[in-house]
Amino acid sequence: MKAIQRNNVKVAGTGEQTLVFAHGYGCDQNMWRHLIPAFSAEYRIVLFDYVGSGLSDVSAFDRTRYSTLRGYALDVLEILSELDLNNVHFVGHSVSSMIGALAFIEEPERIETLTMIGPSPCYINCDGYTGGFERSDIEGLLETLESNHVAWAATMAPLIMGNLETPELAAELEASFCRMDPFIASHFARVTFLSDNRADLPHVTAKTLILQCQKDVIAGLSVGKYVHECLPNSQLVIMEATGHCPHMSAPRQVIGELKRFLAPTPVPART
Amino acid sequence: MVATDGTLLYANKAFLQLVGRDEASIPDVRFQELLTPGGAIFYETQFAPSLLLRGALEEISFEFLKDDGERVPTLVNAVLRPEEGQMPAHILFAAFGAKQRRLYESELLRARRESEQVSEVVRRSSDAIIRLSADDLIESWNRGAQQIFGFAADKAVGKSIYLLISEGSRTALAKTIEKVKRGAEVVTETKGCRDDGALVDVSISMTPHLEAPGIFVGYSAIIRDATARKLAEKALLQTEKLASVGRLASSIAHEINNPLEAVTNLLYILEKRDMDHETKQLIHMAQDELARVSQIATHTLRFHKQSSGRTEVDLRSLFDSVLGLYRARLQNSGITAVNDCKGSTQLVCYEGELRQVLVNLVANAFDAMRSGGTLTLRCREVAFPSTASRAIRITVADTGSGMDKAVTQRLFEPFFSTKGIGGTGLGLWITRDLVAKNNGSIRIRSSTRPGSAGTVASMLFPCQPA
Repeated sequence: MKAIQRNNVKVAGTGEQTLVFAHGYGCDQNMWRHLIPAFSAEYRIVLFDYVGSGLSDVSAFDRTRYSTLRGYALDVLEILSELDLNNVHFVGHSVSSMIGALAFIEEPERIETLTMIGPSPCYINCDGYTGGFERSDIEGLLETLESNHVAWAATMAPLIMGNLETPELAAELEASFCRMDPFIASHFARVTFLSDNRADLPHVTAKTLILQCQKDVIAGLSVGKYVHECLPNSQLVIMEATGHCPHMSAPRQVIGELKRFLAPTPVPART
Repeated sequence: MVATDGTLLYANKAFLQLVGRDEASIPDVRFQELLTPGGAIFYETQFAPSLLLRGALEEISFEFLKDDGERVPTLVNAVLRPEEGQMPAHILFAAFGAKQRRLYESELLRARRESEQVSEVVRRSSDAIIRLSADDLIESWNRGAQQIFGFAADKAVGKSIYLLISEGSRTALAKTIEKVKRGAEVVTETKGCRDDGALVDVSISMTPHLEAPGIFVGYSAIIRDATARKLAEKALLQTEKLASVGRLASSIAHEINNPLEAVTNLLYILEKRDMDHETKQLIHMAQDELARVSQIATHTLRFHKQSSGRTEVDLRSLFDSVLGLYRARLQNSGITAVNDCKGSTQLVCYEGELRQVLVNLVANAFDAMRSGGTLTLRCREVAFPSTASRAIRITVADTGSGMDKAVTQRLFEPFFSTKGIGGTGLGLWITRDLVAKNNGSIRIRSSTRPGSAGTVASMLFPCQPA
């Protein structure tokens, strides 16, 4: 099956260069809707849902392929290959930061720059590294997911809504509001929060922007600094925004930083 | 009331009491920091993004973590209030304690997991475990059932149980099922019918399911493939018959020995008498024939005697003795027997068992050479320089009809026989067992190609370190 259908790929905007927005664990491409209008005039924009999220084809879920983040990275590369895109600007939230990094390592010519929002190469504390969580915390997350199976299944029902912010996408859009197959959610949670990709970081030579929020309980400041130190060619921007999803809670700041980063002659970033 | 990033803007007394905080702590605390770490991840990654997009979420289960470590299970409703004039966008939460409900839920979850584990056992059992309705229709099907009967679940469920039973056995089974319907647990044996029409011996154990007040609602059946057991029983019977024949033979041999001794002695005395040359010649012939009788009697005895320990066995004489048992038959079939032993080769082993192994192999070779040929018993010492060890290789080779690949692949399977009614299919199975008991290994190669047809059984026995 084609990746375009499998991953519910949406292409919008016009421009020479392409921005690929990759959602994080727990949500889908809808989480980018506040950012799209700011970029659609200058860039071609590619949005997609990982298998199991949003309106992706759940039947394409393959436990083995998606047992590591590499499987998700291969999906990204298949999308870029089907759209015949090279040198894209890849914006990844949370786990997608690492998925983008793995995709770059696999096929560097596809990705020109990486933007990582709240990245973490490893969520578990181990041998002197502070990821922020213990294994038992992840078990706690899986328990929470399980006790919310029913309530969350209700969010699976797609709604039809007017899309005033991005009229160029469609007047009416079948929106999914971060819907996620509850069974795949547990699987994706395991892959996301139990993966350790620290050893991959030094191979990510792409120009990279790290957007770090205050008080991010998922990926704390020390993790952001760790990623910055390990990446050979990165800028770390610590924003005023708080939480783990600044592109939703404080989109204007994210838009500003992203534009600054993507500008042909970037102004030195604040640190 | 919470800001979009989770910061608490206002909380009522009930909420503070629920999460075990006081009013003074409000401005510094964010909603997700009040949760267990796992809950916080869920809040940040799924709950908050979804709420910001959807505008409302209901009955989401969260656990708050009090300062003293106590976990407070709650259900949370949340509504997003968009920006309005001076008031920035914010979230309204209503949380209510759900300890009892969560306890009940976790009990349900635990029970579900347990029953999933049990049904996993049923699903994967190699016995057929099926549930049947009161009117004999199959309601559930498992992997074992598919293995025994060949039907997939979609072909079997909804059909009558009599579909699985051979026509001739249906009436008898119907009577048995009547007993089950009266509340009895029944174990029975019958002939099953596979989807390809083949018949299969099965044993069925059936349990009725009753509901108050004693109404029969259905029954379950555990069906086991009894083919192997039936064959084993038959073989056991055969073996027992053979063993009693062996015992009889050895007791006869024993009884014969005494008069045999007497006749030998009498002939000896007779030989010393003066008599004409021709009579002497006749006495010599009688002595020779008598010696053969006595040898056969001794070998028959030895064959039956159980070996108690390993002894050093001279292979050349063992070969002679085995061939001796078959001499007449080999000669009658025009088979040349060759004892190819270099010098005197000794092997430490259980003699009786090695004898049985050779007898089995020679018997097979004989069966394969009904129209004559050459039977060779050979032993050679072989050295393995790599491990500085030595071994003795014994081969039994015939120039008979040989076997094709389909047969050689299954040679050591119990109950596999090419000899029809006469064979138990256990000879080579036992042979391999006996060889292994003597630390040896056995391999059989065979060819049906005209000109080079024949079979070679080759055994390797490592020499015991001195």
